[in-house]
Amino acid sequence: MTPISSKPVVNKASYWKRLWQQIWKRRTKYLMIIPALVFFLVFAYLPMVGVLQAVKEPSFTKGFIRSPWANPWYKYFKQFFNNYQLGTLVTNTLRISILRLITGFPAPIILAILLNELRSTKFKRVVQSVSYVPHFISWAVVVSMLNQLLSPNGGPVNSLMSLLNPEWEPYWFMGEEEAFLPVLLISGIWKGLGWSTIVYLAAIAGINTELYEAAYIDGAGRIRMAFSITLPCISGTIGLLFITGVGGLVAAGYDPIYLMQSPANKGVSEVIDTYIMNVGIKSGRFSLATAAGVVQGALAMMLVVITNFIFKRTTEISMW
Amino acid sequence: MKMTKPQKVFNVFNIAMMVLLCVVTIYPFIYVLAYALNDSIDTLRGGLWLFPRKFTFDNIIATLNDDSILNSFLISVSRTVLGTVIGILLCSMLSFALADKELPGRKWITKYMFITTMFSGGIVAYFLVLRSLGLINNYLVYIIPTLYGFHPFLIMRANFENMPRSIEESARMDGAGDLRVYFNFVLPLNKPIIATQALFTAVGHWNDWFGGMFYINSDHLKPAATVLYEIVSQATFESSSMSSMNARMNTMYASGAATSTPQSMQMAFVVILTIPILMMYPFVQKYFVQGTMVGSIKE
Repeated sequence: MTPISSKPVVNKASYWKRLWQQIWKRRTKYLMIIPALVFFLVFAYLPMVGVLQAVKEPSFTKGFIRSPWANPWYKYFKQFFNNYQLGTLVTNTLRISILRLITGFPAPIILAILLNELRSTKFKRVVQSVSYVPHFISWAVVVSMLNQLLSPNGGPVNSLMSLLNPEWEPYWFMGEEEAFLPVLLISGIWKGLGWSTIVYLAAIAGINTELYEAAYIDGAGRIRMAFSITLPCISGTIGLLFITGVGGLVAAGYDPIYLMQSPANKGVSEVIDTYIMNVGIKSGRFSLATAAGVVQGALAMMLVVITNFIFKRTTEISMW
Repeated sequence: MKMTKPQKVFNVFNIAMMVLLCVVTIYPFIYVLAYALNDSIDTLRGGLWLFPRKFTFDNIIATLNDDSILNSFLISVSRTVLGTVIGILLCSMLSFALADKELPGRKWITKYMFITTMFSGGIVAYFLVLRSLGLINNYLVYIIPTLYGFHPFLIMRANFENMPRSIEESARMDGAGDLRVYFNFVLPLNKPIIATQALFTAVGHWNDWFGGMFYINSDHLKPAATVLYEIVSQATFESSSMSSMNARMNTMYASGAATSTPQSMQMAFVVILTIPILMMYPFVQKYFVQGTMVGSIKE
């Protein structure tokens, strides 16, 4: 069977006829595709149109289509920008995201290189398997475990600290505002570290071994090779993942923040994401929350474009 | 390769770091297991580190004896099984159909789906769509909106494309239709990749707390992960105005109906929620890398 496009088109009628034959022959396959087309239309494209809710009045009785337009159209954007919490929201979002990028981004690269330097493949495989485990655990479970591990009443972390330092006062990690960020960042690394190495390990596995052999003949040690061969060879992967990571900056990673949020730490833990959930879905102020989501999306887009631009200029790595 | 001294030092350091990593990763699980399997009164004395001192299954039994907790597990199990079986079936059929490189419109259909990974309407618009479909506070919200995913589709399609054409062609010579080819050749020949994708889907269903939290109001429709979070957050942050489950745990404990403290029951809950995942883990673990990467990065 040759593709339709490569066949000389004798006349239009026979082209359509042949196309129809191609399609009819695959009717079972099209039947397998149709549910997916409907699925993405309903659950992905409809919500894109639903963004218009940001410029419409919310209405429980009339539904999305017949609900009146907001007057003026930017009413809910204005409301969002005039929000007295706006400054805190944006600062919290950026603080959490940037700190997470700084702490979470280099960690898997370092681990991947260290794993690559292990001489025993068996040991390497064991470490890898173990490090993947937290990825498969629900955040709900992780936060429950944290509550017990960090408990001021006999939790192992507090016990260990008082063993090391007799003057240690039991500390309620999950309740204190200043502990929120460290707990969030460390648990994030704990959960994601191993799994994120997969991409880098695959990139390392793709490096031409001749490079290492040549370096060995030139007398380079393994540490030298890690810096002069491994790291430069995977820099393309690193760059791409960094750019996409920046896009995720504004969406601060919802699960753990929401799960660890409490009235005590709301001053540092309320980010745009949690605000949207609390205002939009819990209190039903759909238009305001949609407007907040649009602003968040625009911010993310801008950051990706800017980072990509900088990368393109300086390193020739680009997403598009 | 001969090793110089700094290299030896580095190797020792490296191995030590890896051992430390493993310990830090595994210890929380060991502690929680010890907590859940230790007599709950004994636990209150503190000083529990690695192993249960007074071994007992009481906490696990007490947790599973609670009707609403048991119900939440039934919801979790049923949505995981239904969601995974139907989802993988539909998604692999889609991948099979689009693995046909001569299928008219293949490119456009792929693009149509790819765009949805780049842009989204945001959670509120998504919620409004669910609401207008009557999926809010409906069990089907766990199943229907999760049926397809672009990533599993991409990975399955890449694998189906790599199948030798000759097998399919000889089957067709014998008069097999697309459905026969799919069930008799594509599915059995791609067992590892389908198993891995099924595992990822199943884990996603089993771990999901979000759906039960925001799309469901009725307690009897909430999955275990959501219920666990609600119990823990109530216990930790709202001890003055304790509601529902946590309050019940406390009354049961106070009245002597249960011998387990709420904390021990929470940890028992965590153990029950984690063990199924850890049990599946060794069987599919070796396919992880193959199951997550698409050709482009592997090359």
